[in-house]
Amino acid sequence: MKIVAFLFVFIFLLSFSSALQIGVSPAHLTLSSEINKKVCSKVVVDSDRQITINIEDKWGKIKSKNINEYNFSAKDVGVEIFLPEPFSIDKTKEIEICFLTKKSGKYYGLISFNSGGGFVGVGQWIEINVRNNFLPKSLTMTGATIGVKKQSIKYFLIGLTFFLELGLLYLLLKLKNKSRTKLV
Amino acid sequence: MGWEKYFLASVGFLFIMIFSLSLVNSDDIMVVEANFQGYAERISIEVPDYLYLGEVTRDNPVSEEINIKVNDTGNIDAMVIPTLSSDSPEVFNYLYFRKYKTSNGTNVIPTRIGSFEVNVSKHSSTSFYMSLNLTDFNGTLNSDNLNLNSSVQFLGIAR
Repeated sequence: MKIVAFLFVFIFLLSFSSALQIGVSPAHLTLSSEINKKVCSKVVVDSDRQITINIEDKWGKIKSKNINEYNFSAKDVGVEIFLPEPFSIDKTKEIEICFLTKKSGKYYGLISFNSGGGFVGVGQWIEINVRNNFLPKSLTMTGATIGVKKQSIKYFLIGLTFFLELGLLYLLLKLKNKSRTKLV
Repeated sequence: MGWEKYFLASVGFLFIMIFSLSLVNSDDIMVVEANFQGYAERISIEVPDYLYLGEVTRDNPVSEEINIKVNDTGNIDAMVIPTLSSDSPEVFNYLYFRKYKTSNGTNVIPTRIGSFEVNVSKHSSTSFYMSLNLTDFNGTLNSDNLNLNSSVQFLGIAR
């Protein structure tokens, strides 16, 4: 009888000590992109039990670790965000989050991964650096041109050596024929 | 004969050149690759999934103060912030938190939800107190003896 009573008390206490663990990796997401270029990143969400995860995003105008500074929607700050629909996880799941902006600049966000009941969540700081793709593009082109020039010089030198070698062979063959005719 | 030596030497050079071309054509760099795991910053917290504040009445508008333990199960230091969902009943705006009940012999004044945060070091735990204080609440509820629950969310973020 005492054992049964102890078992009841144990189960009762167990139900009160129930806790939920939820995690996300990486904790900070720093991305670089260009205007109108979709940038994506993989995120791993984990939990100690099977739960549903809802994702929410908030945005701020300045870089801050005060969540009260994150009062704007993605639309307000000019970010198009591609998040998965609420999903179920059993231990761990890898998801993909993507962003797209129409203006250059720095964007600061907080994405929270909340348990289905909503009583626990983990947040991920987001920082997106969007370059004006006009300037970098020209730099890339310059880089490419330099690259092409480097390659051209390399192939030119190889080709030149090859043709000089062939020329030398031709001259040697001609010398051979000349010496033969001299002998005859 | 002299020209034969030169001829053989130049043919040899041609072969060496073609052979070395195939070796050098890997663009002069060695690619080193490794698969790194477990080095990424992971934020992870563990909190109780049910908290009962007991009975709150007009005559006794302050609930019991319960202790909440939070574990940082990630590999970075975290801060835990209690927040309310937008659809929470108004009464839950009167939730108060404090890390300690007293400090240097004086009573620590609880902080209202929205302004409270607690730091937790990685691989460790911390606890704080939560209570409901409806002293300043002037609103009404739909009925008496109402069992209201709210989604108080404990949000863990990297410090």
